[in-house]
Amino acid sequence: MKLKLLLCGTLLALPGCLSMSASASFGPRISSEVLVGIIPGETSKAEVVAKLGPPEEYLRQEVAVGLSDDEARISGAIQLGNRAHDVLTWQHDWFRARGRWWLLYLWTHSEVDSDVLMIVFDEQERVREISIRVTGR
Amino acid sequence: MACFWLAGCIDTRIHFRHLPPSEQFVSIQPGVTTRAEVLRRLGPPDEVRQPAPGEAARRLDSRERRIIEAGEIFDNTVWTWATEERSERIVGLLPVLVVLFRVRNSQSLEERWRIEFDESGVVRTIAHVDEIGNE
Repeated sequence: MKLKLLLCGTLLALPGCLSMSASASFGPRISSEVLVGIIPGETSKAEVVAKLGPPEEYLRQEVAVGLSDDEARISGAIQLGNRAHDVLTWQHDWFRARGRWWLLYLWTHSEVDSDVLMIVFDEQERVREISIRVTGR
Repeated sequence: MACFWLAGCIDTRIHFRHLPPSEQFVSIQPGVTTRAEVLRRLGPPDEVRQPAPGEAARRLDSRERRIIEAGEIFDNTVWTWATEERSERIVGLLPVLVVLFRVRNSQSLEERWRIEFDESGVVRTIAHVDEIGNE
């Protein structure tokens, strides 16, 4: 199968060039608009999570790695019970790739932009600090 | 001569961008700007960021879930913001065989901003470093 694909790709490249592009994004979109209604000293952690959705700390590992790695799944389960942390983050990664294949020349160019939102909570689980980093693009 | 005609080339470049615009760093003043202002102007430092797709494959701790505590961030006297661009050029026999017979040249450019705070949470130093790596 792989050989067929390779031959097919080579044949496509023979007459001239093959050009491809792809993009994908991971995580919720982050902008200052999502912060409307989140007020330091007032908004609670529960309200923030209800508004923004589950943060990175709740999501990572459980899908890709957790399915194939027992150790990661177990440590993830332990950490699930350890969510008294006072900082939550949301991250949006935007991946773009372009590729060109001429007969004997392959060129690829990829970009990954990461935007991050961090919210710090006080002991009463109210918002203490809001910090947002949006990549300059 | 035959080898010359069969020589293929792969040229790849990947850019991980996480930095806010550099004007925002320039506005940070040692002895004046506080942690809270830095957070507001620059956003969270890299210490709280997850490795992006592709970037994670290069990190040993990428499989660890990031559980962050406020103390872990606010007691840290140094915060960093970084961005990286890597390029690789491979010349080999035929594009499909470059994995086996090749000459490789890799370059990386990492731009990093490092801010150090004093005990009272005011910026002590701010440094900008460009690191160029060649393989």
